[in-house]
Amino acid sequence: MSQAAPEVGSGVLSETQRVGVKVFVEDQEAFDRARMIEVFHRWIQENRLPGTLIDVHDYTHVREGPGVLLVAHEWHLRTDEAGGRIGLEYEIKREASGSLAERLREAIVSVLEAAAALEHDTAGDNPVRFATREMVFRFTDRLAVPATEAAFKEVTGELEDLLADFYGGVPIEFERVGHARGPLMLHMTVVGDGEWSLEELVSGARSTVG
Amino acid sequence: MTTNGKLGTSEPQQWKERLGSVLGEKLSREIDAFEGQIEQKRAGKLTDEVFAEMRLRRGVYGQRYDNGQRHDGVSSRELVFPNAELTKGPGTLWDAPGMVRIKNPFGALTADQMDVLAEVSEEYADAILHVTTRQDIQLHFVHLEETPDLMRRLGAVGITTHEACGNVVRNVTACHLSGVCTTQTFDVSPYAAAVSDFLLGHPDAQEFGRKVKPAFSGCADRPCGLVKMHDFGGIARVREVDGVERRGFEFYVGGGLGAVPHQAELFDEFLPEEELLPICQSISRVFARLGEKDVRSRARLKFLVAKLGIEEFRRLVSEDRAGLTEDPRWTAFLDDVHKDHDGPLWQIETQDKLTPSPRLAEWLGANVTQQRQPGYKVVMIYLPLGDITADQMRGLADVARRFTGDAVRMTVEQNLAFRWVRESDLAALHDALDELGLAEPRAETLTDITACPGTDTCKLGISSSRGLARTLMDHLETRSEELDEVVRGLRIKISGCFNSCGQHHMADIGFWGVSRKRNGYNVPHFQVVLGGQWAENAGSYGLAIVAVPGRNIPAATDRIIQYYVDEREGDEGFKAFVTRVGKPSLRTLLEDLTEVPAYDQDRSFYSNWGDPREFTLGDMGIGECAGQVVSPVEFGLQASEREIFSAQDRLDQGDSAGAADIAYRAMLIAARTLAREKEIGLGEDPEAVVAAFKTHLFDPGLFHDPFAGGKFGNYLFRVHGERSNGFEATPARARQRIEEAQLFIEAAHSYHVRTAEAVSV
Repeated sequence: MSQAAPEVGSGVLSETQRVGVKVFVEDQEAFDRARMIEVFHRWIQENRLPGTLIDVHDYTHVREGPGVLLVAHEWHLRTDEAGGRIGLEYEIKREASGSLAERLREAIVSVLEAAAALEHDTAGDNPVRFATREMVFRFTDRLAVPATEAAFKEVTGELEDLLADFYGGVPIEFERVGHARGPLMLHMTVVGDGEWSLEELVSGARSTVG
Repeated sequence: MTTNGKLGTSEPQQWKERLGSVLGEKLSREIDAFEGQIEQKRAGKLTDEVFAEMRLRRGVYGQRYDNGQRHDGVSSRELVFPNAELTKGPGTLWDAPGMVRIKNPFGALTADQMDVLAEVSEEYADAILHVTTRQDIQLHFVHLEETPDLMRRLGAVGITTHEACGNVVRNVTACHLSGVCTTQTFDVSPYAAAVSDFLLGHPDAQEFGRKVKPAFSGCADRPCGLVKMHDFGGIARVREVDGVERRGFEFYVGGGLGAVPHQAELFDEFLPEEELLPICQSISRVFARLGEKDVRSRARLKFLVAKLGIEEFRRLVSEDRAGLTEDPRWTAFLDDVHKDHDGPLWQIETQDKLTPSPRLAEWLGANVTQQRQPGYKVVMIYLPLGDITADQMRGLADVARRFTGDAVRMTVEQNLAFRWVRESDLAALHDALDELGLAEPRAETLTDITACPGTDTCKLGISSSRGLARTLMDHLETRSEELDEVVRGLRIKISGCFNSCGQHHMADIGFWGVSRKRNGYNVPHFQVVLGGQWAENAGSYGLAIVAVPGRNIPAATDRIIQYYVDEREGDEGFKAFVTRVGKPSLRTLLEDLTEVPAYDQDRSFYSNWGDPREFTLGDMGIGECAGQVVSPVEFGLQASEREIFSAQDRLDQGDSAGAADIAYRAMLIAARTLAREKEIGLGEDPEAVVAAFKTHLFDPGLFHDPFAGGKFGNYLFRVHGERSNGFEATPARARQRIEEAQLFIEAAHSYHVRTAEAVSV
């Protein structure tokens, strides 16, 4: 039940502040949640990621929740377990600027860089590796992005153009996922051929900016 | 119901215009006013103090590190926010994330509310909803400027944050079973709702020196209402008057936990229902008029009742009541109190007897209770540490709509209760909950541990209550197969500090966070509190046994449990067991666990559970040799703790006067220990010790607690003064003195920690 039928069209997507992007851990069974608490605390000590890093929170006691959460003023980074699949999700919470495409690019690059940092920091023992052929996008700002088919179409349009920079135009597909009354969520899968490392995706995106 | 927005207009719509018509004029105006106050503060037109109280009354609270400083395990670092110069309260930065507390009278929730709670938690917070021990919901990491919209969205489904914090009447709690309980006298829900509505924003309830927490219970014996630990509250009673059965309340005032727990005093054996609201109003007026305003630590209603005595307090309230102008709201709600607040979504159907699987049977045994209405059950939904994700809450709204409608309550044990569930739906409901990860069969059991937010988010937290709770839950769960049946119903409750938000005083096994200087380092500890009484509306409180390093608490818990299993006599309950075996034997049981290994032998002792950062600050760099030295101060403070223990023991033996004297002596030992660092030749004369303590430590503010100020030092002066002014050592007053002496010694430890850090930096 909705308080009012959402209107659809185009134009206010750029108002959205909150853009979340998740990449998935390859070996779900081997993922060590407790280790992430230490890693995220160390990242705060080392200023490993840009932003005002505040604290680390352990939510691994709730099922399919935020896992281990690194809170920054501008964003949240969590070892998200939604849908029963562990991944790393970066969500811009505030202080975002630019067009929607620029915000989406920022969120994608940020999650890929955080994932790359995690791969690097765990390389020696029980390394964490991330899949690069799929992502999930989440838009919790319901005022700007209602969970409707119209919004889904608009967002996929933006993402198709943007992700071409990352994947070099290799075909991708989108599927709407999540609860019917939940925020708009899209699952992106690369359907064309190709393999990319996290670093290759980031550098590909950077080379096409501007 | 969701609060979906719109997409595609040229002018972005705001929640204010979208929901304005739903909110109603009054609520819209209030939230608009708060939004205006935010702007005024931003423009420098409001002081920090004034704005802080304004936002607190709107449920917008501070959170750990909001002063812009955080120790990252290596050093204390500044959190650099965009509005670095802007504050939202004294020492509280504008951009620092905060907590929003959401008030749900008697814990009631509807499915539509659950949907919107899920939405706002994922949009403005961290996608987690935390159910508190007072049937509130807390959201964390919320930005101040987003709170007006958050309030509008909640207001659209009938939820308020108004007066969820601040020096006002807080959420009115009540047993979650009220209306469906097999032992209730009558349903107290409508009375709790009436008190909540009547006092919300009431002019007579705006001038308190501290908060007021009310509670109601449908019966005397069961624990769900916890009336006796509240500022005021009623237990349902009926009485025959002139041949007519009349409803009323056994009414209590002046209870409270906090640093010094008080049992509430009986105000009226039978307060007629029509007198409930006017008496609550008069209690508010008397408290506002006579309650302490300047000394925050003595400003709760419990201190006023203790100061005046219950007789005088009762006389003052009755006198005020006689002069009140009649208010139609006093009785208007009584027309509806006999109606069920909620009811069945579905009528009973006959069905074949359920043959449950072992897993279902375990859940039925642990999480499902009888309802007074035949054919219906109450289903408890266990929330680990009171947490539920946005996705779970949204899914749970679906499940509620399918099985129980809007008959959902939050509990003071941080769980949820589905009422009016048909017996025939239990198996399907279990499956639906299981899909959400919410069918754990451990509600209200040993492993359903209550914990306050502690060092996770609370500014006052000393030790990590949630980290310990998580560890203990896992630890006990792995032992669940071997645990004796008699311990499964015991309650474990944990607070991160002495303020008791985890309600450790009433637990069978309680812990509260303290710090101890050991081997030259700060070490997180927990005071072990045993034998509190959860039943009979929090009938009595436990007493501290000994402080144990946090790292050893799981082992301590194992020993306590096993001791009970091995040594209990017949059907002896845990409280009776603790009383019989006595605290000396319990202390002996745990004595070796108070030892802390050297830093280089086991560094885990020097961190909180679930937090790899070193617990200490400045003394990290000291060489390990310092760890072998026990200073005279540490010896002295340990001696004072031993005296406290003796005082508790003496009290247990019925010698209140002796207990009070020993507690006083314990305070003197601690005071002398610290003062001797400043005045080497200080002797043992009490007058000289108190004078030296005052001159060297209290007056310069050195002993002051960062949050409580001079509160703990003043305990010493008052107790010392009572020696010459006469002191009637009743058991209650002796107990209070012991509690205050304990807190004074804790403050002495804190002072020692602070000074040691300052020296080493």
